[in-house]
Amino acid sequence: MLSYPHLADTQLMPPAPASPEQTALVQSLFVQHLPALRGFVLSLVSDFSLVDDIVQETFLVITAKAGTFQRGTNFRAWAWTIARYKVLQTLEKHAPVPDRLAPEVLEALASQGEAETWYSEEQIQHLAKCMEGLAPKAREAVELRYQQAHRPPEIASRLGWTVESVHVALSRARVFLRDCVTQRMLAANP
Amino acid sequence: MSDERTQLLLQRYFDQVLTAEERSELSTMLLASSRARTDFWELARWNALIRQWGEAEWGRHDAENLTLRPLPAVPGPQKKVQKIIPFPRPSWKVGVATMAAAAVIALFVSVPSLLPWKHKVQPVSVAVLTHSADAVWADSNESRQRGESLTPGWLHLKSGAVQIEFSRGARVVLEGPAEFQLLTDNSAFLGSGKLRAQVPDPAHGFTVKTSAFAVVDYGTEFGCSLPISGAPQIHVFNGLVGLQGAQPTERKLRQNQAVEIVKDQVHDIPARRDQFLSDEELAKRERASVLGRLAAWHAASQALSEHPAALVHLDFEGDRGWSRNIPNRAWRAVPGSPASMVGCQFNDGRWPGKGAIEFTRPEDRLRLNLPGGYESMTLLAWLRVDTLPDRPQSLVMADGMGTGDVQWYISRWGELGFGVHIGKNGDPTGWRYHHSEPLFTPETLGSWVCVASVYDSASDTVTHYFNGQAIGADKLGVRALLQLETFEIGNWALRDGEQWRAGIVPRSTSDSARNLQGRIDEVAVLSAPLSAEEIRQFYEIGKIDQPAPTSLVKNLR
Repeated sequence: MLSYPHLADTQLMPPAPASPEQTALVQSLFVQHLPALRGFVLSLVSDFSLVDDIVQETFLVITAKAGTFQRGTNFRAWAWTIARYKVLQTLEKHAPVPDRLAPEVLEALASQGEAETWYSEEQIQHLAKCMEGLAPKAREAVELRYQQAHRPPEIASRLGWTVESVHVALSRARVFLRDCVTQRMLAANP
Repeated sequence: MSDERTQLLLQRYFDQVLTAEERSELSTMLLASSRARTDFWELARWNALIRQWGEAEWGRHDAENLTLRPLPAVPGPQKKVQKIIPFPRPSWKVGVATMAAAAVIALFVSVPSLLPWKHKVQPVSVAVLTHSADAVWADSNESRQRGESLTPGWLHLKSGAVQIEFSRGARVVLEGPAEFQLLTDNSAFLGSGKLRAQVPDPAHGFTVKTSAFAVVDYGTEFGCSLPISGAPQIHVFNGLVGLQGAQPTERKLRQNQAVEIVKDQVHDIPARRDQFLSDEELAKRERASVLGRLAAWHAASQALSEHPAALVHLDFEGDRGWSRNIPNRAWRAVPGSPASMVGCQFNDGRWPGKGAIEFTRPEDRLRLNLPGGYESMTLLAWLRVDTLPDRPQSLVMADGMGTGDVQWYISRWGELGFGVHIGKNGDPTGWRYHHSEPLFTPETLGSWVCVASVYDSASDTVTHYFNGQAIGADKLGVRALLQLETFEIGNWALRDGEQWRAGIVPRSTSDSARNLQGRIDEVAVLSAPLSAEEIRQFYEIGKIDQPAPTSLVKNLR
């Protein structure tokens, strides 16, 4: 199990007092980066239901440590380190299940650094259009998964499919949506 | 593109369907190859993008539901604003104070789709309706029942009387006709009507406001009457009360003092206890009203037991002593085959004195046996759900996974679910389900409700009912006879490591509990599809507060 001595130590230290302006700055940066942070956390835990709690706890730590953030330095790197720590802490509390990756794998992934840009508003708009191109049944599976946060076995029982066919439908839908959004982006910004 | 195997495993990871072997294979790839890690983040980005879209859409649905959802006529909370809570979680933990940073709250509010905890907003109850005697509410859609949590808002009591216990400890007996508004856990507004308040020490400062004055209690018992026409009166029976707003300065009223306010003038009058209904008198009235109600229900309940299609009918009446067997009163009950109580205990049901089974611990259950297969089936129950754990709760669940096995339960999201196994014996993917809209919300906790699900083989359709009203139907594709064989009420005979077999998805390996947390005071299984009218009658005769019309009882017979 990996440990984070530097983080653990700073957690024990009394948080440096932050001015209200400093706290407001850090919190507004947090909100700016929230969609990307949610994406980052979701990727590491794969379980939609854990994301909110981890993001909330990250927010609390960031607020408490606002005084240690230096204006002009990389907020994202700072916040991501805290989120990463919260991910590991949360997964440690839960019993291991096959669909979760071990801490050392998560470390390797996080240190590789994910793409700097997660998604833009423009992409989401294209995505909404592309959804209309999905077959009705595939769209239903995508909605159950991505809107209602059901897991494939539950989607299977609701749609009367097998888990495997739900997974295949979701995989195909993701490929279709990726290609569709990419094409629309290219057409819009040649 | 990296090799197909990596892509396949990554797709499985993001769908949470990796097996343990696949996970270790994927982990090796991710540790060894930076290419695999790049592929991981590439797919992760698309996965997160679609989730971002999904959350925004879901938030929009949610917002539409708040205004567009039809309001079913049910006793109590259903007509209030409902929110779907896909993942009820523990409330905020540490450092909540830091949230007060107004700037950041404003930011979240202005960008609602960014709000990470948008599903957490729940109205906070400030009081509980503890007793009710012949209470008639101005609007039948707004009727409240004993035990119901009350959130800030108006109570329009046409006649009868109720007792309300505020969270801070003040206890109010309200006599109809009255217009009463709950403000906080220690204050209320009296529009009109009569109340008597008992205020223990922890509730010091309990305040009753009116449009003309306010009564602030300093630990005591007082009465306040605000007739629609006539002069308001305040009577102090014990302790000390402050009368504010009626005079330039606060007037202190002590034990056995009373005042009447006529044209902005405060006059002393004799204090009269007998003008205000006491807790004891209310309790007496309640007992009388309940006895009448219980007698009417008994007659009707017998009619259900004698229904030609009744297979199981448990009403939990009779001996509550040492016996751990509940007699099955149904006409077609298997002789000598009662329900066995495991763990669970007797408690009060819909009315004080009506028997019920309370399920609290994970091992609590009733076990029964019902041999045979049935073309159609009706499941009926009066129940009270006490918590909404983040998992399904069992109502009536067949033990097995054989063709035709039936499951009836409340889903993780508070929906009523009915499932039939239509696959081959033992096939874990063989279940077909239909779920209703969410019915059980934090607001319905502690209220008695009537649920029913009817499977009609003629149309291959299951229909769900909530408090006598049909709330959704769907075809299931059943081609087998329905069966329960050995089954459980309030729990499900699930062995460790078999969570997957229900088709109700476990959240983690430790997620095996399916027990109900609440009470059931009547449950029935019939081998015929009852009509919508028959379900409505079952609800009407069992309703908590209104007396049952005798015609309904006759019809059901």
